[in-house]
Amino acid sequence: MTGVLDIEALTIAYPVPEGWHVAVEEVSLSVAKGEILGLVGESGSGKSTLGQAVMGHVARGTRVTGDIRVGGTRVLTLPRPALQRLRGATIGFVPQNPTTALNPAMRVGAQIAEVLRRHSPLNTAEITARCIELAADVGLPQPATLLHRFPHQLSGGQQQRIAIAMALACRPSLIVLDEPTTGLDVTVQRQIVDLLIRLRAGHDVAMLYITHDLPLLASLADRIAVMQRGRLVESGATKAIVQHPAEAYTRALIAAVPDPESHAPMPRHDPPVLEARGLTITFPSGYLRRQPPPAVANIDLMLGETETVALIGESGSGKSTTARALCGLIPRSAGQVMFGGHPLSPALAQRDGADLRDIQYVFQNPDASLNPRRTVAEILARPLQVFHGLRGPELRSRAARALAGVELAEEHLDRLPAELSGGQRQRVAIARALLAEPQVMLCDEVLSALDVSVQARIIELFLRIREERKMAMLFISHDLAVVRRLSHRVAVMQAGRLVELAETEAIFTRPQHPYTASLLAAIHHLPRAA
Amino acid sequence: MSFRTSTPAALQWGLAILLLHGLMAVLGPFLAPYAQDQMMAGLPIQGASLGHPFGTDQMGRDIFSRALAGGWIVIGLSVAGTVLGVLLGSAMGLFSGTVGGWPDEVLMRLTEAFLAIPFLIFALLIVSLAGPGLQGSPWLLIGVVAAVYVPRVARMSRAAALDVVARDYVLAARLRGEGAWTISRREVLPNAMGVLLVEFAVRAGYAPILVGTLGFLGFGLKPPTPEWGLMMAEYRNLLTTQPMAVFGPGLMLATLVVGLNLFTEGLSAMASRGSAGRTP
Repeated sequence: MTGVLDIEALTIAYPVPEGWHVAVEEVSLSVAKGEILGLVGESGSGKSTLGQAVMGHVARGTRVTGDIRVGGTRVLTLPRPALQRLRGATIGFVPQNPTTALNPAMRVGAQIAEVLRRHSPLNTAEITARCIELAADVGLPQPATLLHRFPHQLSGGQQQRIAIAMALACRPSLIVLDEPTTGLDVTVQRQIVDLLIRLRAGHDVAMLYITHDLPLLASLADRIAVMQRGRLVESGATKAIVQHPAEAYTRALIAAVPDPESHAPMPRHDPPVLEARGLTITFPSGYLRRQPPPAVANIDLMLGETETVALIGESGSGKSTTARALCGLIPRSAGQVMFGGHPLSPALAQRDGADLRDIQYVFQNPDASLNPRRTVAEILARPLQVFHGLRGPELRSRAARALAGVELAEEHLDRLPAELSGGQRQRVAIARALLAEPQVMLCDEVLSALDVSVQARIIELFLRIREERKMAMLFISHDLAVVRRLSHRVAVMQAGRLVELAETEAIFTRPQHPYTASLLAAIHHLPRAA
Repeated sequence: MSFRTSTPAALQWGLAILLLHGLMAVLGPFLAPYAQDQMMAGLPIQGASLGHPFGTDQMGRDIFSRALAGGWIVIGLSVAGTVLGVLLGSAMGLFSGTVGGWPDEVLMRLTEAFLAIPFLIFALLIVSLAGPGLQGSPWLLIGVVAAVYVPRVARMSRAAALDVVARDYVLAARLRGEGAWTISRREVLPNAMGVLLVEFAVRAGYAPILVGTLGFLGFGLKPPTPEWGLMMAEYRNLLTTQPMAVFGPGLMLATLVVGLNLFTEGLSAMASRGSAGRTP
């Protein structure tokens, strides 16, 4: 069978100090004309390595066996000049992060035109016309003026549309998309997915869509291929894979996706522990410049003693800023924060030890929140030393118990963060927060750096901890399915304002604000087997 | 991974030269053909010969023996001064970078003021301010080397600290209510160690020049100490008749500096490669 893309028994191995690391092992795949194949897998599954190999990008010293054919051309043995003609002309590529992929010093129109100049026989006037046509195709408003802008003058979604236009410019037969919507907000993500479906029909182009997001693929791909640790677990029609997965790994992957239809926890009516009134945060501007609008304006938010409130909204809506003002990392400019009946000072330096202990913050990315030069034992000892004045051997035994509490073994105590997996690191960060024995935990996108199956286990961990510890949580997330599973109430933020605050079930079934409704409409549903 | 294959050539050569200098500094005084202060070890003002590789001086002392005896003085003063300078400078820089705000502003404007003075003039200023009582003292010389380096090291380590303090684990420490001093010691220092190590090597590489220059100008140690810069000054009127009297100690100083700099170059190459290797 010859499709647009045929991969046969592809094996890619990197040299590592211990020998060879096999990133892709005996993978055979094909993509037919005009088909969208979704390649799904968790980090380290080899899906990106495979995508790069299709583009002919293989690092020096890498051992590659097997065959990749694009439209019948053998990519792996192609000499460099022919490979460069193939990229851009026959294969288009859409990167994960358009901010770094686009040249910041070049107008976006010129960047699309450059692809055409290299790979097509068009003259200057024709190129200009084609650029405008492409920009309109990818749904950019007022293409003629927008193409004169620089990348930083566009939004993330618009940048990704430009990257897609570049990939489409020379009417390729195949586009490789590597996590193209991962950094984008849910509503923008939804628009890009709709765009890709529309483009496939209009341009008759095949797509290899690489992602970790199974629900997204369910609404986009014709077929899905599942990868795990370099191997192809299974592949088949989207509906078959999602509803009747044959392999245990695929079933586990689907089970790990939180169901947005699940029932929310019953609302609680606790006395408040943390309460913000009229919380406003304005970042200082330079001297003599006009005062900027506040990043967060006039937020009223209350957390009950054992309640979990989710804070949702798109990037830049002020979710993290709000949480950081509550814990004192960012000083608020106006408003009041009450904690356990007494007011909290805006500045961290003026809060006493008990307040610092009682409000703990868990960061988004455990790679950044754990000191890479300290062992787990040292990291976990800090809250015990600082908040509870413990010394000596007790530190280690308490740290070990805390690790057990987040389902890690004692042997992890003497490891450095780099020697742990992403999920294990986030567990250590959670254990560190719990060791302070807080009354409130502020969790800032704590799941978003993790793989789905790891996310599912951390959610279970949170549910258990909440039951055991009876504490309040503010849970910042952009994943609405997770929010529905965990939170009693949901607060929706848009452009620094709280636009809706209601019980979880009400938010999901009867959203009052149009913005909430648009967020809900952007969720990709995984059609589950009955 | 074996040491040989993973080490850049510069590091190997640097290490070899430093090893040789180290051996000379430690064993030289014992292996020297003559005592460094033995007068009339040969006829006065003789050119280089097998018996006297660097010749003899006005008093008939063997210059090679003197140069051997001076090794540990030059190396000791340089290392001690650099250690002191890097310790004080990095403590200041890391603290300054971590605390931020007005203390940071004040400290950094202060270092800028000191950096605006050429280092030799700055060194001479300290020596003259120290007064006649301390002049010629090795402690003063160590202090001068340290004082010249403190502002330079402070700026380097502040830059390293600024890179670290933006990380979430520093925010986590601030949320525990820890102060700038604790944070700079516990969180920032371990992560700035690589930069500081290279900084130490760079500074150590120039310290012998500073020590030698001060000696040559008569602001360093006092005769008859066989410090190389001082020896070159003492013998400079022999330059036409017995050039090895000046070139000999000069050669010792030059090779030491070259060895230190090769070592540093190799070290920083390894450090940058090491950090590049950590990201997959």
